[in-house]
Amino acid sequence: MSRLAEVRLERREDVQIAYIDGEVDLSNATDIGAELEASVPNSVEALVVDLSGTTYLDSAGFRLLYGLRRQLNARGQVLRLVVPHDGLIREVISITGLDEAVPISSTVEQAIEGSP
Amino acid sequence: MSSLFEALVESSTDAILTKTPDGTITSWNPAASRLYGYSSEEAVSKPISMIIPEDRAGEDQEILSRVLSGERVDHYETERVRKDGRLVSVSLTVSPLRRPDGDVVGASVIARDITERRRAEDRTERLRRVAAALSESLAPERVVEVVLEQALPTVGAVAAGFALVTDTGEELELVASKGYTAERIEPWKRMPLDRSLPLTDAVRTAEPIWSETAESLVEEYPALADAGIRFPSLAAIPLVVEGEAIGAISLSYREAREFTSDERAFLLSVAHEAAQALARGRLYDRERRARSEAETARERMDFLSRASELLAESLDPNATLQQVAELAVPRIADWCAVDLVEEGMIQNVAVAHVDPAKVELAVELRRRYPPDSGEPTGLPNVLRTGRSEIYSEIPDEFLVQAARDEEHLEMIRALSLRAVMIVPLRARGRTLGAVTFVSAESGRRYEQRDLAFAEDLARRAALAIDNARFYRHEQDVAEALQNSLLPENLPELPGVELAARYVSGTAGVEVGGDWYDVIPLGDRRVGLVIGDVAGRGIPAASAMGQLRIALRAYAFEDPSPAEVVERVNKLAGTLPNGDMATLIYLVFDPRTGAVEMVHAGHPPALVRSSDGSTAYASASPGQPIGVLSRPRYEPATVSLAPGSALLLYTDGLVERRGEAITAGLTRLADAVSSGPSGADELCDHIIDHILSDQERPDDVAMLVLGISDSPERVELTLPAEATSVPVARHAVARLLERAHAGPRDRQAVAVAVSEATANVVEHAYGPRVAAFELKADLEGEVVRITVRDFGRWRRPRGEHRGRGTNLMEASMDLVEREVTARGTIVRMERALAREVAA
Repeated sequence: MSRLAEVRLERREDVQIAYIDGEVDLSNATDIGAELEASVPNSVEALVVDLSGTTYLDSAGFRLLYGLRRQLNARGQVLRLVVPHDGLIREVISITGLDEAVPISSTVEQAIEGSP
Repeated sequence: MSSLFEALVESSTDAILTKTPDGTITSWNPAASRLYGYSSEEAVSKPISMIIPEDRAGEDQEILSRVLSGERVDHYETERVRKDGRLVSVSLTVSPLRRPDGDVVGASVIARDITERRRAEDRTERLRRVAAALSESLAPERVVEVVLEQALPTVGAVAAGFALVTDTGEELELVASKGYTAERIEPWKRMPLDRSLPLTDAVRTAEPIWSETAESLVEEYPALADAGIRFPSLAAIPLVVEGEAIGAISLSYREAREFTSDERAFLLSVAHEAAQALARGRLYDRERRARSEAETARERMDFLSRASELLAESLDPNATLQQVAELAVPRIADWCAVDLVEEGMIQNVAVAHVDPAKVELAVELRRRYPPDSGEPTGLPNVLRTGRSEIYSEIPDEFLVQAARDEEHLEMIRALSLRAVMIVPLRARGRTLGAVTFVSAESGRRYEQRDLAFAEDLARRAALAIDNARFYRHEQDVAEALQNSLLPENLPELPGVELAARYVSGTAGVEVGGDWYDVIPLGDRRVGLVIGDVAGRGIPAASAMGQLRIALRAYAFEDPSPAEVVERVNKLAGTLPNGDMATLIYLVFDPRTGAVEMVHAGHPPALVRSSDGSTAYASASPGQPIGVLSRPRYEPATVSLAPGSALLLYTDGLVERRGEAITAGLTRLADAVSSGPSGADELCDHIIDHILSDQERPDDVAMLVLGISDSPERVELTLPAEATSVPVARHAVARLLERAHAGPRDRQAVAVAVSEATANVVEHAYGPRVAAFELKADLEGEVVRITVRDFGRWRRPRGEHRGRGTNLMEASMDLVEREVTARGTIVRMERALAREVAA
């Protein structure tokens, strides 16, 4: 069976970028969480998770993102998300209030700069 | 007055006196002297008031004034005082005394002594009351009380005793007494019946004993005199029921007296009534006891048969043991615990307590102070020896001794144990565990009878556990084989329902060479296989495994079905054992409903139309695999319309010993024709109707392909695993896609379905939770989702679950959760916006 989601990683100076393409739910959230956590070296300031290619996200995904934020904050690092304005998961994100806990940008470039 | 008249007066047995209007006595006959105790000399010229009780002075004045006015008073019953101060009851007739001129100059009083009559009347009344009181008395204590407190004091006795023959029939027990001092009575509490005493004699002879003088008592009963008991008069009256004395009453008098016939009659009557009342009470008691025993026995039988049913139908013995423990409380115990020995460890598998709060205490106790297998008594001993233990009573010293420390003692004291039975769960000579029955709050004591019942229950439970474990072992073997050789899950395909069964033969657990397979191909097409390798056991299974893999591999390359089978045959020719197999391989295209099917010597596929009519697919049967080196296979085509179904099976389903195969084919066609529409339900129906009640020498495999008649519906049963979450979501998403729902609707419904199924996977628990059902229906613009599990829910906890619930509610117009005894049902609805695709 093909994987529900693929994680791609990219390092840009002080920022680690992770792209999640596909669907995130109970069946793969734990694995993705572990992969993301392992991807962040101590030397970076922030982890930018790009959800532009994420076609599906539910509470299992939010649990993962909240957990990731807590982990990073404990290490003095920050989590930033990229969600396009017209993305289908934008609505779900605002229902859960994730956008109030984690800075969300529309593009990776904005997220790297730390602007919305 | 004439001398004749005087003579009459003198000789009258009635007291006759005359008095003046001011109350001076003027004449007094001998009978008056006898009645009142005054001689004529002492009375005449004295005031009449000397024989009138003070409280009756007014009454006499009134009578006198009536008489002085010329009236006569007849039979006036009243009391007068004798010279010795005692009262006598009299009936007076008072008449005026007139001078010849008619003037009233005094009154004549004729008095008759009615004391005896009064006493007799009194006794009759008392006897009536005693009889009434006794007739209502059923308890012996009450009979004794009525006799001693109500009946006897009125006969002038100063002391009385009530004795009953004991159960052994050899002794008389003084059950109650009145008026005797405690130390005096002590030696007489129990009297051997063969000893000569007034009470024992009365009982032995069933005749009353009347001792009227102190001398006669001493003479008759020197033992009493020796003991310093000297009553001037004594009576001992037997309590006789049907000719036999069951006890006796004794009466002691301070002065010598003659027992008049009235008195004797009265006392005999009281004794008779008391004896009857006691007999009635005993009868009632016996009946009641018999009835309650019968009731208890019946209840226990009911209980046992209920427990047996529960145990027999259970495949999960631990869950059932919990039910049994709950059944035992409060009927035979206030607290019941079941322990099993599993892998050498004592495991507590069930606890029930009348007071749910104490279940926790009991569990906590077990957790902190697990039984030590070295303990010489209690649970470890029962598990070691396989013998029951019963403690009818548990004194505190016992707890002190058993406690390991102060805290332990405090905990076990808090359970207020009263009695305990520990009985082993034994089957086939092995002790599987033990059941502990504890009596606490109810104060019930355990007897041998209770132990016998508990052992009966434990025997049944042990048998059920043993059976279930044996069954489970067999099942484990069969399941392991199926898992290794048959597809784990059938793929979920839109518009198609797939169901398969593998039923082992009854001959043994040796596996057959039957198999089925489902192979998803491109363009939503699907390949179906049913096959049967000749022979049994490991060689057949391994050949089957190779053929299955080979067929899968060729099928994935997707040549024509005939070519797939031809290649499989070619491979079979190179197999070491030269195995022979039969099979059907078909490819179904859901877009057209077309089936292309190849037979290799296999029994024909059965097709059922949506109207229920059935037909075996006619195809040239073709050669079995492994017979010819280059056989030709002719594909047959069948078209499956919506609502129809196709059944593939192996020959075990249609073959019966001593019967033509055509009979089996007809039976199968009939069963399928009358079967339900769902693929899974149809499989069960076939098993029920064809395989249930007969010996199956062979294994049976079957595979049903059902074509949905409604493309606007999803019905899935999925394992309660995380991987089912995307399967459920995608199935519903495809349904919405077919219905041309827009992306926002699809996204919202997908979130709701995922959250609901994630809830089942993460939070439902219990033995039947292994699978859940998902249904999705489109009705007009509304999509309705039902997610149903078969376990119990833990209350959703924490922020995360709250988030899931919020998402479900935000995504759907309606979210309802119904928790039932069998599981939880979540119903959701959303009206679709129907963003029409261009």
